[in-house]
Amino acid sequence: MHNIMKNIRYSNLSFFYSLSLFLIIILSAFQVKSQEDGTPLQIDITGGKIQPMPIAISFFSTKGEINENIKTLTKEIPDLIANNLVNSGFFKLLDRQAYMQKPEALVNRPKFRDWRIIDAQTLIFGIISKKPQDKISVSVQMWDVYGERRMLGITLSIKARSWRRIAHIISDKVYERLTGETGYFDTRIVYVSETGDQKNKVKRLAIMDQDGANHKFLTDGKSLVLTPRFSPNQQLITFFAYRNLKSGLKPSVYIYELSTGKIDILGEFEGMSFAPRFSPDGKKLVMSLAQNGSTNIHLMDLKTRNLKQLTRGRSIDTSPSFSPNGKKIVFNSDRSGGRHLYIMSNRGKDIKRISFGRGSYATPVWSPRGDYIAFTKFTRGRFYIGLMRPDGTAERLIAEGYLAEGPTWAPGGRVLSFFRQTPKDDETFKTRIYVIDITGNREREIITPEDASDPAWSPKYNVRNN
Amino acid sequence: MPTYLKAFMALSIFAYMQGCAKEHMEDLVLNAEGRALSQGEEGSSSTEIEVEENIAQKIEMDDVETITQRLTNELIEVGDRVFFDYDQSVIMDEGQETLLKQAQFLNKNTDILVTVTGHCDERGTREYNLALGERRASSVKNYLVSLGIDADRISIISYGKEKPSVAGYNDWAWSQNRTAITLINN
Repeated sequence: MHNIMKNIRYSNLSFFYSLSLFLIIILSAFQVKSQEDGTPLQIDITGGKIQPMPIAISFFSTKGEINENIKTLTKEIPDLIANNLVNSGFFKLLDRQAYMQKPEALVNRPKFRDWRIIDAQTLIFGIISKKPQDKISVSVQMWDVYGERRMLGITLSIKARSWRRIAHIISDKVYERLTGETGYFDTRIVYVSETGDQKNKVKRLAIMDQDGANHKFLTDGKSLVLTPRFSPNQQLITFFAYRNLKSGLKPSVYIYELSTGKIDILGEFEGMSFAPRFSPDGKKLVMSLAQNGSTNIHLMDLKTRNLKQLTRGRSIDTSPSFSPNGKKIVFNSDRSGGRHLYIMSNRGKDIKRISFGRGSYATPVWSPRGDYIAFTKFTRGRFYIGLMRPDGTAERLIAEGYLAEGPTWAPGGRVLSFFRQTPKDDETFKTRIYVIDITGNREREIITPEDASDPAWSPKYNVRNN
Repeated sequence: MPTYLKAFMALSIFAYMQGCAKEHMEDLVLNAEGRALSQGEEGSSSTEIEVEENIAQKIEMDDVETITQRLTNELIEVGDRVFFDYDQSVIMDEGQETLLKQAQFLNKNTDILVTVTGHCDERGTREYNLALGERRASSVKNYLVSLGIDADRISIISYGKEKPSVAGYNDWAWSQNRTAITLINN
């Protein structure tokens, strides 16, 4: 067994993780061997109907001196991993009542026959031990039950209170190993938390893990904030807000720095700046400027603060979003009369319409894989979240509602989030964030403390193998 | 000052700072009561002067507020808003009449500045509606300018679908929310 020991360092520590953890992950490399042997233990997720893979995730065992907290984590960590994997739709958790081998007995080597009896294709178990400075160390192994091969071995250490992070990282590793797709569990969502009635809404920026845990408000609600979006390195959030400055109320694009909580206006422009998004390299910001009844798309270099106008004319051109390679921009425009989606080069050239269906198209967002553009559609009095290929073909709608808007992609481009406003009675609504996959299946609500809108999924943490 | 009062004030200040930090409304209310109590019991002359000054300032403020309020009421009587069709920013006949009266009002009160706020019903995306609201407010501004009002007197703000005049989801509510409202700057 060739266990190449690797250190994985987090090059980008977020503000609330950075204090609580100095994370060193020791990764014993994935066993590429089983793949070379042609083990069929890979899920084909491109096919039609997905048959979830039966997976056994044992409670964890412990090593050395432990405490009550660690005892709890022997259940909570595997439960969270199971929750993530089952939510993805690719896995079915086998009932733990049926597991014959106890967690403690698994430590040496699994008794594969015991696991084949219950038809487990994959088995995951782990060991938790106590470390100095309130840290815990978690070692996890994943085994191919039929091939009798170890597929994954990871040891992670972290402050005990940040245990969820470990469960998410492990979930990502398992998901990536078994599906070949990019994991999205160790990510966060920034969104707008809403309180108050329809006419006087208080809107605050808030951030949470992708599963709704570790919820935190970022702004106090004194100014109305809309449409937050992450920078590629997750350190900055750009958003639109009506903030009171010395010069008065200023509706504009602002930038929030997560490590300091500092909020800066992007710049003073003639007209109103809004609809901001970062370029894939994080060096530029694309946005709309509205001036005297026309709205055009502009590109700002964040270092030089130089502004370049990309579209011209009297129409409304807004909601720009870069392709993952940064070469193209998709946006929505009423230049044809109706509201449709267009693609242009990152210099504003070669403008081409891509949507031709009935209704109004808006808020296009390019998938991080580049294979789809997600959008909002309004037709016959209803809102829809839809997908199309970047050339405009293969349009399909995956979610609908009285008001459904603002798709955002999870890393990997197989799962999206959006928000939906549902009437409760004549005057009030329930507004919530939902997660759905590109097949339009497995829609579920992310539980938030208040009403929630404008979700933006974070990119993946930059895990670097040294 | 008696020791218990000092302690009480120190506690009040502490509570106030805590309140600011946490922004808990409850903390702030408690603290306001606390301060009122300590000031009242202290009864020093400097505090009294401060209170008098505050009253004087308040009267001045009231005057300004009354004038603005009176003008605002007048503007509402004249017609402070125009309405639009769905996804449109063209000012219709009724709106033109309203803006003519607004122009007369602005010509009569040459010392006031106004802000035109543009609004949309919720059947559009947030970002598109910010643009549409700006277009509606611009449309009103341009019309007033065409009637001879100095462009420098008119600012515009788009609220998109963020500040509807009417809650609800029916044709009437939507029609009320597709609007541009002229407001007198304070």
